[in-house]
Amino acid sequence: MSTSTIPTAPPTDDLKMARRLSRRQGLFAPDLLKAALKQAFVMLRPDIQWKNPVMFVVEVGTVLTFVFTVDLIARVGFDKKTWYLIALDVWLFLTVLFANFATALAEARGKAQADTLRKTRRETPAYKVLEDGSIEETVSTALLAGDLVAIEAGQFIPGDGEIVEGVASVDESAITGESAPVVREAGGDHSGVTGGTRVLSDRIVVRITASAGKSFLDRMIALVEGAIRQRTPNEIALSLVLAAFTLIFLIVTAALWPMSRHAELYMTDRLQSSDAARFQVTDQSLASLRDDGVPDAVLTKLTALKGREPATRADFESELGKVLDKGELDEFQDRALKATGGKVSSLGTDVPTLVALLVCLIPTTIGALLAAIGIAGMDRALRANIISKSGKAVEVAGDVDTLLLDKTGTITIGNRKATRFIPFGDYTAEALGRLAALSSVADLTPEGKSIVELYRGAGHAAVSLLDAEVPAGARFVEFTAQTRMSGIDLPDGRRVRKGAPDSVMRYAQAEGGTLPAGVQEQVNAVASQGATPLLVCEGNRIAGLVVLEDILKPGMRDRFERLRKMGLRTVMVTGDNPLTAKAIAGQAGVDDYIAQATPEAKLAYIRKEQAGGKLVAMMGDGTNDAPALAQADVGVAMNSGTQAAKEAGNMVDLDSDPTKLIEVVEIGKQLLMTRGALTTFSIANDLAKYFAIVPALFAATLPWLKKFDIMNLHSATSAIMSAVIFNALIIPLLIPIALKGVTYRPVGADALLRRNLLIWGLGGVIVPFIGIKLIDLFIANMLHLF
Amino acid sequence: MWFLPALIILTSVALSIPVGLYLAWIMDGRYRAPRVLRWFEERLNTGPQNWKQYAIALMLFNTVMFVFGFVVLSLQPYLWPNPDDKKEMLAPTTIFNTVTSFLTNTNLQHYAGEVHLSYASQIFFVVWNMFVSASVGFCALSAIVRGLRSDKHMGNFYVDMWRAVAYVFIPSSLLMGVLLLAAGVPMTLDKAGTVATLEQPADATEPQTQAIARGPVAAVIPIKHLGTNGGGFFGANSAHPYENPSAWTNYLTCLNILIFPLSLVVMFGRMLNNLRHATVIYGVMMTLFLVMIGWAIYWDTLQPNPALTRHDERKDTLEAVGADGKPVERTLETAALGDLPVDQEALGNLEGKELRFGTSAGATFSAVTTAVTCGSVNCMHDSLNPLAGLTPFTGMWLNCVFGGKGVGMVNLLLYLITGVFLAGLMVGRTPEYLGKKVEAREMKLAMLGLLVHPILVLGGTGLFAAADWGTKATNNPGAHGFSEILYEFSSASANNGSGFEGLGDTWGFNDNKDAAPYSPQWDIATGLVMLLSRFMPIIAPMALAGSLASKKPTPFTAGTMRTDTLTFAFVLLGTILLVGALLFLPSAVLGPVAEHLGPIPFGG
Repeated sequence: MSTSTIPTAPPTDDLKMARRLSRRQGLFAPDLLKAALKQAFVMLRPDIQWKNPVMFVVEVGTVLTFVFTVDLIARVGFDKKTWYLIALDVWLFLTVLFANFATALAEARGKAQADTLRKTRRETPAYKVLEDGSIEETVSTALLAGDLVAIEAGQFIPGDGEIVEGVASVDESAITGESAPVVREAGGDHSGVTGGTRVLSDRIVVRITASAGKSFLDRMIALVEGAIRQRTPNEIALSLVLAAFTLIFLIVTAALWPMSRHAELYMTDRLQSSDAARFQVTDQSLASLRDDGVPDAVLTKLTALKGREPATRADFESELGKVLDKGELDEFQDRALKATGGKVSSLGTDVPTLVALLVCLIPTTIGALLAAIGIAGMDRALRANIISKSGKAVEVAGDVDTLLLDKTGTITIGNRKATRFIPFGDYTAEALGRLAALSSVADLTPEGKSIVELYRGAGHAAVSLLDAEVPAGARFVEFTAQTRMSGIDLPDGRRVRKGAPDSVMRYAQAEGGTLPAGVQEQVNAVASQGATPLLVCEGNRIAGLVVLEDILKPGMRDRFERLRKMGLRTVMVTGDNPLTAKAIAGQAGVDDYIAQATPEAKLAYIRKEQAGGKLVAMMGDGTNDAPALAQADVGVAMNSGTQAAKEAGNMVDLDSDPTKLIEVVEIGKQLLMTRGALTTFSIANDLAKYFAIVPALFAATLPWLKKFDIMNLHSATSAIMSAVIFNALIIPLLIPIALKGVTYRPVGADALLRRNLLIWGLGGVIVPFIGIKLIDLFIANMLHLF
Repeated sequence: MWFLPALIILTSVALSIPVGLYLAWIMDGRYRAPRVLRWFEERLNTGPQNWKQYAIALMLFNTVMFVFGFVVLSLQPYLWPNPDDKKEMLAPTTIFNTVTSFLTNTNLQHYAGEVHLSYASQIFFVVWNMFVSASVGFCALSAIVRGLRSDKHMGNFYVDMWRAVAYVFIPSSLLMGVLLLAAGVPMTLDKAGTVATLEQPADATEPQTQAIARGPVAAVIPIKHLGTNGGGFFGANSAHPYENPSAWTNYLTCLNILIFPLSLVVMFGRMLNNLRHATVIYGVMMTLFLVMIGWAIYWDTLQPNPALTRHDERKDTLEAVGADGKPVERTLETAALGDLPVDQEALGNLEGKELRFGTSAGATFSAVTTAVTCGSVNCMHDSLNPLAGLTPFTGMWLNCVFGGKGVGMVNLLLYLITGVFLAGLMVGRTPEYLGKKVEAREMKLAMLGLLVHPILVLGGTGLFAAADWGTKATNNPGAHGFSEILYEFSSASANNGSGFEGLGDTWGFNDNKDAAPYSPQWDIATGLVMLLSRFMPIIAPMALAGSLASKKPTPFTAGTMRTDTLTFAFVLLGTILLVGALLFLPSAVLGPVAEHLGPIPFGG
């Protein structure tokens, strides 16, 4: 395999920059706003708008109002009523636009991220390793699953895959935003590489696992773009509720027309039989009588009365008696009175006003923001560097009951550290430390290093001294799963071993030594404190114990306490023995632990929890975690993990940070809470709107209903306009909350419910009263409109 | 004044607890009946039913009841006993309306019992329907509870029906019948009595006589109230001295109306083994109920009748479109009204009341009968002060303030599920009820059940309000006339059956020359409303319970929203009030509120 033929791609830093920029983009970055505004207009297309039934109703209402407006302008030109209708139309239109804008803005934010990602997906050269070992130059888009490709330092990895040969440091910042390179190597749990990332050093051969267009990155782009965004189960249920409320209010407003008509009819009757009645024969009244089937002979006689203005009904009746004969009078008097007396008319039978009422009542606020909330939830996850394979996974995360947390990295900081030397017999702590350090010189595991560090940190010897003490002929014994020991054979024949207590004891006994009294007790004592004892022996003499301890992450105890209040059970997963596991679990404050955890044990635990109806979330990275990840309701795979793990889980954490699981749960809960809060707010708003609009509808027919107008609004039209404007403005005002989510506090369900009920329920009842009054003051008293 | 309602509430609450526990014992099948009765129970048991089979059995049974009812009423001229010799056929739409009305436990009466029904119809049609239609709601609730607690099946409809009728309604009706007989309620198959009146015109040759209608009244009245049926033997219903002779029987009547609806909440809690949750529901219902009674008494018994008090002259500005098509303002002047020499302060509004029951009895009864969809009346709801009229309206609109036999509790479940859904989201979890996730299917069914009632009330009122069907049928113009139309549809849709009165809806006998002109329209419209609003809100929640039953239970954690706390009581109360207000506020404003605020005599 010749490597000289592979050219090196120029390094690109612009990707990294673009990625970081998109991360920092605020809610209302100007370019996003512009894109969203444009999209808001595009979404007015009925076939797109139809997908949001609530806003579709508003759109239809707007068109209906528009038709009525045009008709009125054609009939009477521009008068007070026309301007009212025009204003109404503008604000109804703005309501739809605001709603579309909210959705478009959320989508634009996703798109901006997708665009950045897409840049990394561009066609890159790929060097396929053929069966005979030769290299063939091709392009990334032509690769198929199973192909082998060679990548050298400086080149982009052409597709998702697993390293089959070599070790390399890889810059994954394009995906994770993390600038520090990570090491990826063949075999083990860190063999997965992602297309679009760049190899910084060395050369690797990768087996491609996803054909072009189906890679992880492609899926991610499709997801954030919303192209494959499917509505989640809860979103569907909520949409149903919103549609039902829309239908109910459609009935309420539709029924108001005849009800208002009823009031108009009897108030007309009442007016015409009162002293306030004025009967006039006009062209209009004659025309309406003709439509009513009154014969022309009678109409001609009535025409004679044109221009007269009788003072009372009785006067008019006597005038009628003069022009009509007895038979005609009996047949047509009532109709003539009705037609010439004028009629009481109210906004209650005015279709555009009823449309305004309908728009105010149907849950437009949540209807406008529902899609945005869902997209924003995915977006928040993405910002936390979690890629969810579906929106449903984020939602389910809110319902999780049990969290399976890896001890290492989540509960404790990194790996165990040597903290103490406990010598036995003649040995001093220093002598023991020296032996332990000597046996660990070649041990590059974190535990081995920490032993050397502990010895060095104690000031016993410099590294150089230690190195110098390692005799030339020394032979290192590596740790194996069988011996469970490592050590050093010194040229003078001393054989130093350190390892699991039982192995070392067996070793010492086999060498003919005896165990000092109390070794087992010491070992147990250390283990029972949650620490790991390592026994050190020199030949057949047991020298003492090295205590390896886990360092708990600060603040985890409080965090688990908060999780418990939220109703979440935390389970620590560790490879430690049960004694150690129990002690650490106690110190960390988790609810349960799985000790000596094997993949099977994890799987069994998850199944047990699920059998009790619980939802389980876990995080994993290794191939052997895959079954458990697939079984868990929320399985978060670490990006550093194997491809198999990533395939099995329903989320991928790009940072490979084990504490992310908690964040995922919080994002899920926040998503559901935001939906609930804004729906409650939206429906609670309606009460105030009734108090504004209902008296306004009947201001002309039942003026005494003004007492029902507790906000004391300026006029009927200003009341209706204020309600409509409030209803429209509240949408953009709530966009930040829809996108950011309502404040989430890790407290119990009852406290959370009380808090949200007060803010969004009670607040939802009160806020519109204030808002509508202020808008009314502004448009009526300051602008002198309506 | 407050003594009567306090006594009624205290005794019915105290009784509801043991009775509720007894009902749970019966419906759970833990009661071992005597062998004879058990023999019937075993014959009726067709085996365990899932929700669909249960619903089909229920519908089948109701279809048979419908046909049977139709046949009995159609054959009235030929059936025994008919001592008063009612030989005319009832009008077809009257039969249709009456059959649906009694089938659906509504007992809306577009006829007068003593005029139009024979004893045979009272016994074979009315009494029979009263027993079984009351039990249908009872069965539905039992089945739904079994679904909610995830039983493997929902029980057996026929067995439930037998248990409700044989072990609950028949014994309690017998007991009440004896008490009523003792209090003077007639029980006879003799024909109407004839008495000579005291008034004898001077030129009369024959002595002036009056027919006194009577009959097997004591057989009808107990189940009329225990089953929250409300269909009176006489047109005057519980205001009639033979149905409700004294203050004592009036108290008994109220107790009879309330006892089972109250107990069913206890039964619900007991069967679910979650009495704390039932306590929250009971508390919410009771709060609403107390407000309803308090409101009615405050506005009716404590306020004078506005038609009899002094009113200043007032001017109201209306906006009209003149004959020339231009808008004009017209001032409507209402002349001042002097007060009448009637003592209003001490006794409140006495119009349409029966004083033998006490001054607050009418207002109290109006709240009791509409809260639990009984529909019996002991005063003219038409004559309540306008704002006091809001109490019966509210009872029928919400239809879940204890509500009808079983169905009230079922209606409340619909509100509850809606509340659980919204509040559940606000705690950041997929909403759960009784450990089961509430998802799209459940919400679809809950919304379906909830939608029917407002659509029928508002749609029906809308259809009739602006047309001759409505405007020409009302006794009064204006807002009061509107209330008459609104009340009729509210009563029909709530399966309440009480009447506001003042509406021309009686055809009666087929050859009736004075039939109300639009009575067929009213018969058919309200008949259809009753059918739809009866069965949709029973079947949808049954499907809902079936759907919940099939789900895997979620464990209870600190993150689960509790349904047995004070916080949840507020959620439930808030949901009922908000949804109720949003649906019916405009109608309330156009009816009672407009009448109250408008010039007197506004109603005409």
